[in-house]
Order: sequence, then C-alpha cells, then structure tokens
Amino acid sequence: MSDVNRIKKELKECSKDALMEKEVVWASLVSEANLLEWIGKLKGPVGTPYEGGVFIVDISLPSDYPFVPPKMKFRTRVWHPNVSSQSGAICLDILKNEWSPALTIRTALISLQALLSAPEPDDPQDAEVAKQYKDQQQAFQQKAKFWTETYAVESKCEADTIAEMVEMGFPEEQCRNALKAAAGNKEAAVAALIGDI
Amino acid sequence: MSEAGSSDGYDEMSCSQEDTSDPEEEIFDSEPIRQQTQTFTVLDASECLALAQKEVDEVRELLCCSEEVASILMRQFRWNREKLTEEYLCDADKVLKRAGIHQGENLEIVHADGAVAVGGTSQPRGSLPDVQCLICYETSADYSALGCGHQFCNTCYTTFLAHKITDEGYNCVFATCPKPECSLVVSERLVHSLALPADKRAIFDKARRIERSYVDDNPNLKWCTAAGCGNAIRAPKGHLGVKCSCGQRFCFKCNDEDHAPCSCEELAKWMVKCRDDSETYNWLMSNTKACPKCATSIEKNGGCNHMTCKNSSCKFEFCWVCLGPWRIHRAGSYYSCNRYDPEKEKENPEAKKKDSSRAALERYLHYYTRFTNHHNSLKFEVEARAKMEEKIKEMEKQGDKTWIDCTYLKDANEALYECRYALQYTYVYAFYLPQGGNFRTHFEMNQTELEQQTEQLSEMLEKDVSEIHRAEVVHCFTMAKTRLTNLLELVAVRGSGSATDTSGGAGSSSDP
Repeated sequence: MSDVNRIKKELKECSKDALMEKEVVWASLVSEANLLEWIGKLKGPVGTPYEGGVFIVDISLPSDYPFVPPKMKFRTRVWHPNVSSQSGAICLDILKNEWSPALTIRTALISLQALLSAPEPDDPQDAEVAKQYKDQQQAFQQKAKFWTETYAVESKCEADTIAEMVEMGFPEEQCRNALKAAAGNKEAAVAALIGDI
Repeated sequence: MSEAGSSDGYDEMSCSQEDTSDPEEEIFDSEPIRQQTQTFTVLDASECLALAQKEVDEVRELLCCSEEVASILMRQFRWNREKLTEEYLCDADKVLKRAGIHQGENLEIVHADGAVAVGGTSQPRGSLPDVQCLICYETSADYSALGCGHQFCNTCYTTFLAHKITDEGYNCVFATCPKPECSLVVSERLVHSLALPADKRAIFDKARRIERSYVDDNPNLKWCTAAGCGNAIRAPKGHLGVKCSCGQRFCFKCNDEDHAPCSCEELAKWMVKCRDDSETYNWLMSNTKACPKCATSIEKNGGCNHMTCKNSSCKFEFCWVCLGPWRIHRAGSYYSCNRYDPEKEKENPEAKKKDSSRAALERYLHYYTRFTNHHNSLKFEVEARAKMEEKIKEMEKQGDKTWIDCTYLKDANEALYECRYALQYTYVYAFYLPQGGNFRTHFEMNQTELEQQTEQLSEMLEKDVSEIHRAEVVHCFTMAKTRLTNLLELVAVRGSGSATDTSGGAGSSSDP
C-alpha cells in the first residue's frame, strides 16, 4: 500500500517549489485523479551541453512507494552515457539499490540533474554514448548540445504563450499539450481547453 | 545381456586381478571405490559454527574489538582476514565507518518491554518528544533510531526492514539506517524490538548467523541443497558431484543435481535442448512426415491426401497415408494404399536418413531416449530399495542367514542406483562428445560395459529370494562399481588433459 498522506505532502512541497523562479526541478501529477503518475522537469545544468534545456521525466510510483524507488524515465530525448538514447531509461544507483525511503521525488530529480553534469561512463545505460563520451569527448559535447537544442529547448514565444495560458488558470501540462495539438495557435488551444471543461 | 566375464578380456582400465581372484575376497581387499574420488567432507552445523567462531575470535583478539564488531567486520570483508587486518591497521576509522559500525556518542532509541531505551538508559514508554518521521512525514512519539540518532517512526521502520528482508534475502544483514548517506548497519536489538512478522525475523536471524555467511562466502564450502538439511560440504573449488550425509547428491559447482560425468555447461545446454527439441520433435512427429523421396519434413495443410513436395529439386507427388507415389493412386492404376506391405517399412527408415535435420533430430533422440530411460529406471530403483528390505526379511525367515548377512543386498541396490544415476548423464556427455576419435570409442566401450553390468545387476536383484546367490551378487555389484569408477576416471583424465575440445564437439554435433 502506498502512503497516500506522504505522497500528498510531497505534492504540496513540490507545488510550493513551482512558484520559485530559481528552482531547477519541478514535479506535478499528470492528472488530479491519480496520485501515482507524476511528471517531473529539470533544467539542464549550467556549464554543460544540457544548459538551456528543460528535460521532462515520466515518473511512476510503485504501490509500495516510498519503500520501493519511483520509476523514472526521460521523456525528452537526452544524449548522455547513463540515459538510453532510445528509450530514455536511466541508470542511477539511487533509483535502484541505493534508494532510501527518506528520499523524495524532488531529491531524486535533483540527483538526476546532478547526473547530467557528472556522467558515469563506467556504469553506462547506453554503451554507444558512453563509448563516444570516453573516446571522442568533443563529438559527444556537440551531439549532446545538438540534442538539447533539438528536443529540450522550448522556443521563447511558445514558453510565453504557455505562461499566459497558465495565468488564465489552466494546468501547465494541459496547456502544453493543447498548444501542441493546436499547432501553436493560442486561441484554438484555449478554446480546446475550455471545451474540455 | 552379456556376462561379466566375457567383457573382461578387453577391459583395459579395470584391474586385472578381478579375472583371477575370488569375488568374495575382492570386496575386503580392494579399497572402497568411492574413496578414491571422494575429496569432499561433510560438516554439520556445529562444526561450521566452530570454524566461523574460531575466525571471529582470532580477529577479535587481533583487533582488540568486541565480538559483535569482529563478526560484522568479517561479514563485511567476506571472511578475508588478511584484507581486513591490513586495511584496519592502515585506517581503522575508515574500515569501521564502511562496515557501518557506530562510533562516538550512542543516540540509539529502542523500545523494549514497555519501556524505551535512549542511548542505553531506560525510560518509560511515551516519554519521548514528538518528532516528524522522514518517511511518512507524520508526527509521533513512537519512533526508533540506531546509534546515529536518525529517528523514524516504528511503523515505517518495520515496513522498511520487511522490504529489505524480502528484497535482499540474506543480504538484509547489510541494511543500513534509512537516512541517505548514513552507513550504520541495523542492529539485532532494533530488529527484535520492532513488530516484524515471525518469518521475516527468522530470515534476518538466519542471515546474521556467522556460520551462514562463513559458508556462503567461502568458495570451498557449500550448504547441502536438501531442504531442511543444515550440513555443509567442503570440497576443492571446481569439484563436481558431492553427497551429503543426509543422502542428498548435488553438484558442488552449479548446485544442480549431481551430473557426473557431464559438465555443468553440458547439462545446462542439454536441459535447454530437451525443452526445445523434445517439443519440436513431438510437433514434427505428430504434424509432419518426411517426403518419401527427399525426406524434407512436410506438413499437411489441407484435407487432400495428394501431396506435392515443395522442395524445388524434388516435386515428388505422393499419398499422405501410404507415402507411396501418387501416380499409382490414380484411377485405373493399381491401388495399394489399403494393403500392408512389410517391404515398405524396411525402406522407410533409410529414406529418412537423407534429411540432415531429421538425422540430427534422430541423433539427439537416440541419446534422449537412453537418457530418459535410465532416468525413469532410477525411479524404480528407489522403489526397489523398499522392496529389498522385504526381501532381506524374507531371507532371514527362510534360512540360517542373519540380517547382517543380508546387508550386501542393500549395498548392491545402492551400487545399482549409483550406476544408473551416472549412466543417464553418460548419454548427455556422449551427445556433446565430438564424433569419431579414439576417445569416443574408448568412452563408448566403457559405457557399454557399465550398462551391461548394470542391467545384469538389475536383473539379478529382481529375482526371487531363493535364486539370489551372495557370491554372484557381490561380484556383480563390485564389478559395476569398478566400471563406474573407470568411466568417471576416463572422463576426468580427458577433462584435465584437453578441456577445450568439448566445446568444439558440441558445436559440430548438436544442431544441423
């Protein structure tokens, strides 16, 4: 049995963080109805090829959470030795045997962000990326940067539009999805969101 | 069924004295067969504990620490005393910290007997201030902590430990304080103070026993694989078949059943093959027939019996029922499908051989049927043990023999079992043996001899009490055991001489 109270408290903590500008990780529920499906986001660490990107992480809480680690997977494509370039699967000790129930989704996301700045090529998830990281550092940097720009950077105007929609009182994730569905047309996206309600 | 004497002539490996000496004398003169290969010893639980205790005591004296600390250190260093002492003398603090041993002020909080002990001093239950548990985020006064003082409510601590025990098995002894970065290992005191289910606590207690990790971490020791048997076996690394005093036989290397003379890898391959190929075989046998001309396997996919071979170089048309050419089935031709023709039956097996896949399958099946045959016979030999008791009693009643006089029958039965047991695996071994070559001939010769001797013994033991003669039986089972030893030695010599050609043989002989 997962601890509903604990999850709710974590959610509360996370929503506080979301208001803070300087925060580097955020987490929220995918839908209000399900406490076990989360979505996390983290900023690419400054001074790395991931800088400037916002990476989306799918989080699924097992029924024994927090005694069993949460399942995390990058939805945004990342070029990194410890992340599968195909599936987004993550190789990180605290998400496996080093997990402790005193850790939280937020701390796990922070560890994940730390992993982006300090790859561990000797314990790789993606052998191809790890090999490039070790043998051709420059090519690796370029590719990681290219992937960040291609998959993880929201264009400035898109971000502004979403911010405006969020101010109208819609959840951010829904705004992003609606905007995508409406091919960037703000009016159509808002109409779709209102229609849904 | 051949006689033992006739095969002696070309038996190079067995001792020549057997031909001349009286079989009765032989069993007293010669060493017990198993003795020669038995390089393992059985240790019971108390002997294991004594060995482990001795190591712990020595470390305790050497490092001047408590017994508990010495046990934890040894467990942590996997009983490598040299490495432990070297690192300890170099940096004791680091070693203690890594092993999760608490140093400094004791901040332990443990509930027991209606009271709560804080840092070793008892105070009444409920006298603790409320704190927030870092796992459930609830506030309560019912919490525990290890020496490090990191508090977690008892409910969460219990669930945490229950998960550790279930997920990590005996490795739960290395479970640490739930606080990230804290490496303190959980204490027995704390585990016992919490309301863990009895089965979980039992696993933890078992895991903590020093002899448990002593045996588990020692490559020369292994627990007997029989359920509930607490004995351990000591054998050199890489040793294969061992037998516990409880009767359990297993392979020291792979923990599977004893599979001499074939190797662990061969057994594993064989098991996979049996799962796959027996199925394939069954399916092919029930759904396909070999083309009478080119022997390609053909599946019937319609109701019509007029088959055309799809093999482009064959295109043979035939009748599915009688496998005869279709042209003789046509109206006007002589129709013979309904008649039994014994000549045809003779031709068929020949035709089948043409198809390589079928040939490979049949080769496999040759070994498989012999393997299963001995395997199934083994079950009867187990039943025979019980019957033998009856026979011995009957003998006692009939004549002037005492029970002691008749125990040779039990030995004979035991020898029969051992031979059959090994025989089944000789077929697995032979299957993976490269085709041709002197060794194969030699091996098969020994195998034949063992098999003949075994069958002879089996037959002898199934006779009526009045027809069983002691001298005959003793001679027969001694011979069988000798032949078994010869075979195993032959294999052992090859294994030590050229271990590499096994793999080459397996590749070339198994699949088409």
